Amino acid sequence: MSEVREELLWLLFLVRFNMNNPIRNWRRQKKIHQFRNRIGTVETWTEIIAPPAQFAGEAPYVVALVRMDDGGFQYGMITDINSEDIVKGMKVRATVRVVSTGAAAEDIITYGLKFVPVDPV
Amino acid sequence: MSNKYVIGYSTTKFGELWDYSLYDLVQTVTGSVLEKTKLEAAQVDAVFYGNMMAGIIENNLHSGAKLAELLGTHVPVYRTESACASGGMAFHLATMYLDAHPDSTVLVIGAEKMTDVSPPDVTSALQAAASGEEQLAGLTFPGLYAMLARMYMETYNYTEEHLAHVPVKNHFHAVRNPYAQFRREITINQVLKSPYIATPLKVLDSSPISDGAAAVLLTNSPNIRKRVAYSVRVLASEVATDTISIKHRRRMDTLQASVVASNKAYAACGITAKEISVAEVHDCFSIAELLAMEDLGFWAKGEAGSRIVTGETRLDAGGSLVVNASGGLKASGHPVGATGIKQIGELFLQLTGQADSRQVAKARYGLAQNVGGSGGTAVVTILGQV
Repeated sequence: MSEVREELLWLLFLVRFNMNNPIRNWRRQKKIHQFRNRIGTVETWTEIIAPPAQFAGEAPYVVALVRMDDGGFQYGMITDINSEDIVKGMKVRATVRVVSTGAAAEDIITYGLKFVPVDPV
Repeated sequence: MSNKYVIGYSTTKFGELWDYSLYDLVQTVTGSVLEKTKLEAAQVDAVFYGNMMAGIIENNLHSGAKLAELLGTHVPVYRTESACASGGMAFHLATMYLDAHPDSTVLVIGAEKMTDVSPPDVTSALQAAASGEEQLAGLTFPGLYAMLARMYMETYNYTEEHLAHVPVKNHFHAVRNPYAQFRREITINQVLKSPYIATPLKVLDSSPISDGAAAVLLTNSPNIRKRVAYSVRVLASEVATDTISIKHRRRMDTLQASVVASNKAYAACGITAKEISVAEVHDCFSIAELLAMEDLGFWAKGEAGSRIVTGETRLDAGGSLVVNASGGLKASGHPVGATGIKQIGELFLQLTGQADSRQVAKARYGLAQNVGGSGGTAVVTILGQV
């Protein structure tokens, strides 16, 4: 019973905080695919140990600020690499991955930009 | 020269104040500042209120009407929201109100209630002050400042130990502040051994989650000023903004909004950085104080990492500038809407000789820097005993 209650409270939280709003997700995700497969360079990065509630299941995770070869900067988690192998100046490729699955079994899945190393480490 | 004066200040203790609601805190400082100045609520012509998160975590808005109910008044109440600079922005707007309304007195309150929800939920609520892309990437405010810290350390060849001198100094000061959240000294070793929250920043590099409220009274009324025991002139109050996303900024080793706001403030009152003897800067994370010292013109670009190690801005150093005598955000606490008002209140205490064991000797000019988000907003205030 307490697990059900916790899940309900979490869903209530998500609704109140507008974290997993489907319309908002749909609007944002239309723009993400244009960056897929683009190459960039890690400018600075951090490993998040204390995450916000909606990323609790992902922590710890690395987020980088990437200088894109074709101009501008993008944020994204770096995946498929250990955090101790990440260095400033490393080349990464943009990919579209799941960034949040929500708490409930049928909650919407949020896709976002992530980066993977261009060269295997 | 400005005819606006801070004439009174009150604060609650900052920390986990579970017995008090948000409006209990507001009522406490409001009653206290009126009592200290021997003024009545009826003598207040307008109220400015800085608060960031009550609408998110408490479903609690329309604070103007709530404050009117507490004060028993029909005067205008203006609420400001500029993330962690909400208090500083409330003060700034109050000075503009006085410019437009001669012979007036205004109450400026900052308050925040953060400990009623869990740390991850507060982290989520604070994230509302970041850009949508930063939120979607899972970036927290510690994470954003951590990226700035890594950039600064790599650019100027500093280490985590250089950063650690900031919280050590501010905890040393907080021991002398009875309203501070953490009244105990810490060591460099303790900072370095504390757990990471977002690499390279650790728990002891970071300001805490806090409840608290602070209030100041401002007047441009000669009659009111004559009646109060203490007053300090508002020499300048300036605001500047920048992109909400750090990815759109030209440089990441500076918060340009602080540079612009402080330059405007110095120009407005003809005071230079060298004349400031006491400063309250926005040390939400250790890196933020280092950036502030350079952005406000106290130290040259890239110099802060080495200068902080000398301890020259500590109260006991006998230097020309003491920074964060209150304990700063790190050790005094950081109820986000209240912080900007507490900073100005600390300057008021210092410049009127009421700071007791943390009194900065011969303080004549003081500066407060209040930052919103990762530098999207900066409010710089200069007060003077002139």
